[in-house]
Amino acid sequence: MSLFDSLNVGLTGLNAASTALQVTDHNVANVSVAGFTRRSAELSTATPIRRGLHWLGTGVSVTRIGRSADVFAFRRLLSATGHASAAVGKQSILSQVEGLFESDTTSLRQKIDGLFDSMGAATADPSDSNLRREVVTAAQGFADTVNSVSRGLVSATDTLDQTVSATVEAVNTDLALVASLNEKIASTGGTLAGGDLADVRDAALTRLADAIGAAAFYEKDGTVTVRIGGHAAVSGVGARTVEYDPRLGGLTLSVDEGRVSITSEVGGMIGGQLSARDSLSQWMTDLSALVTGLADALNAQHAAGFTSTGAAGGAIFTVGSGAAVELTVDAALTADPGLLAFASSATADAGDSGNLQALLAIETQSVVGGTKSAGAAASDVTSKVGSAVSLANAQADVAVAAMDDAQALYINLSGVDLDEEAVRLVQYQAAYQAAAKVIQVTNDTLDALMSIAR
Amino acid sequence: MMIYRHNPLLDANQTISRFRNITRRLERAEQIAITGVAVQRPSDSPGQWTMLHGLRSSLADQQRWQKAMGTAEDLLLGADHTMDAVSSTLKAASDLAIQYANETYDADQRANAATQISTMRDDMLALANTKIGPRYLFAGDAYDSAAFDASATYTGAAASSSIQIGDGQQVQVAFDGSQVFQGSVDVFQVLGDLVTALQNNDTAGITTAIDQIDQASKQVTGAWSDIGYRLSRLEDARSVATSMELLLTERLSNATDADMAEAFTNLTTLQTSYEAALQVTASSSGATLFGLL
Repeated sequence: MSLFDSLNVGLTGLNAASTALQVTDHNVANVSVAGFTRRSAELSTATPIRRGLHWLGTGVSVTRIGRSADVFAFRRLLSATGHASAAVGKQSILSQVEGLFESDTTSLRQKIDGLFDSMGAATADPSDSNLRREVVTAAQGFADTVNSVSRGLVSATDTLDQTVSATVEAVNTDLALVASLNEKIASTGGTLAGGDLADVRDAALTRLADAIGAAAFYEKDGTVTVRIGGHAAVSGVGARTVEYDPRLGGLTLSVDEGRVSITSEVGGMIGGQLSARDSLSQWMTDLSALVTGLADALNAQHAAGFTSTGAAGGAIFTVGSGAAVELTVDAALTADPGLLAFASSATADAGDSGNLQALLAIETQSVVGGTKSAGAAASDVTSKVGSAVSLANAQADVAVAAMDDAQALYINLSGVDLDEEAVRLVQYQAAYQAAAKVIQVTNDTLDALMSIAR
Repeated sequence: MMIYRHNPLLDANQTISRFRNITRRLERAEQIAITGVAVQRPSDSPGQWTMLHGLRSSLADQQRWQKAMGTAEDLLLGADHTMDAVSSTLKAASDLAIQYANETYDADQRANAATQISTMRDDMLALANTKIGPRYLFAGDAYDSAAFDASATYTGAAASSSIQIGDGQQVQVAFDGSQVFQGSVDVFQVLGDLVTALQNNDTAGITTAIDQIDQASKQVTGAWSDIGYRLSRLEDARSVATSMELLLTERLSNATDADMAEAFTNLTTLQTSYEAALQVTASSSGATLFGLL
């Protein structure tokens, strides 16, 4: 081996140490970047050459810049992220809505009880205008509370739909990004740039897991297949699109044959919010059944009675026919409580409370679905809301704790440890200094040789 | 072998998570300690919420019924006092009739007595038209106008008006004046007949009137006893309602109120944990090997 070969060997050592130092530098610089995976310079002995009877080494080469990404830990993190986002997404919607049914000052049940209480008080003197006014006021209070709950549910649903729509746009952007990165990573291979692109792709996958509960499958060619609800949303360099239309099939994914519904199969924030949407819809149905049952019963009985002037009673309430429950008290009653039909006979004596007693009896009748009283139905739906919120809170706590664990595991396996990098820094610095010394000694040797020749 | 990397991002995430958890629990503990109520929302105890609603509803019912009892009591006591006055008036009329049935009195004296009985008859009509507030007691369900007109003709209605004083319990507070004052005996007619007999110096007529007054007294006494019975029912119902109110209030309190000793202990523990977490975080050196190189 000639001195010039020695110089080249020293140079390979210098280059390898320099590259390793650069990788360490890159790790230290990105220590606080969320999702950054530690890089490592993988060194290997260069291919030896044969000189006569001997094999001589040719130094060291950097095989590749490795990425300490634990695929198992990362996929576990994605799964935990999807579950946590779903749980938190559902919890946030449901806990907001809980206050509609029961607040510090009022509740649906309280307003129903208040309505019948006012009727009970009116039995003391059915002709008393003040007591009649209190009945109308209580009816209005009940209607106001029903409308407030109903509008709150509609508003929460509308806001949820807007949030899901916005999130779907972000999902499509990330799906396209993953497909684009699949192509680029394949071309850059095991370099720092390739590792950085892989980190960007992992960040997109994390966002997809958070948004829609997407799962990632690493292929042998280095690409990642993204699955949403069991369907491939990204495969190789191709990406599908997600759409959301609550009026037409909900959440759909494009497939070769058209579009497929994935509403009930997704996780993440979207999955959590769509699950909450189902709950809101059910509670609106329960509210509608309660209001319709009670209003119909009261209206029918009121029509059987007579006002203070002996006229037949009209309807107390009108129930709107839209998607949201809308309850109004008859405007004529509001203007003149004398139109309350408390009497059971057209002579309408001041103390005739026959129909009032019949109205009061509705409090304990099974007017909601033929199985429950109005008060019991109100308590039931409120209890259902409470159960759902309590369960959502517990599930969110567990899911977030699991996600924190998964994240800690992933960072432990794939993150940067400053102490470790400090050691590597010292290691590669020593290697660089040693290689430089080799070059210096070889150079001095060459000088000595040259001086002989002069 | 598990690798544990000292990663500042992981440390920061775990610290934030720790603070988030403690802060949430601390806020909840503060809320309970301030309000004294452990169950504030349906999600705090979903299984109990229907029961709590039922307790509150029942408590509101008891309070409403007690208020109604007050109204009923006013009316019944008013009727009770009126019956007392009616009975006294009939007794006075009877005493006078007995006195002037005696042969020792002459026509002029009996004529003067007739004036007194006539005044008693007017008083009786006024008693029959007794009002409590805007309500004529003896006009039946038509209590917004007088029970009897000036000619002692009943202008009221039948009596069915009642007030709810308990679960399925009603107490009637209206009185049919035609039954009380003109049932089997017409009180006004009896007194009118006595006036006529006295004016005509008719001792036989006076004697007949004495018997009729006696029957009228029995009729009034019967109505008076009925009022007493209703008042007694009212008293029983009030006793039950008061006991129920106490019981329900206690049950509601047991179900929702916080154990204050436990609440304050928990609050203190969490505050200590929070301060300890703050101190640990603040004193964490964040030292790495880089600082020593």
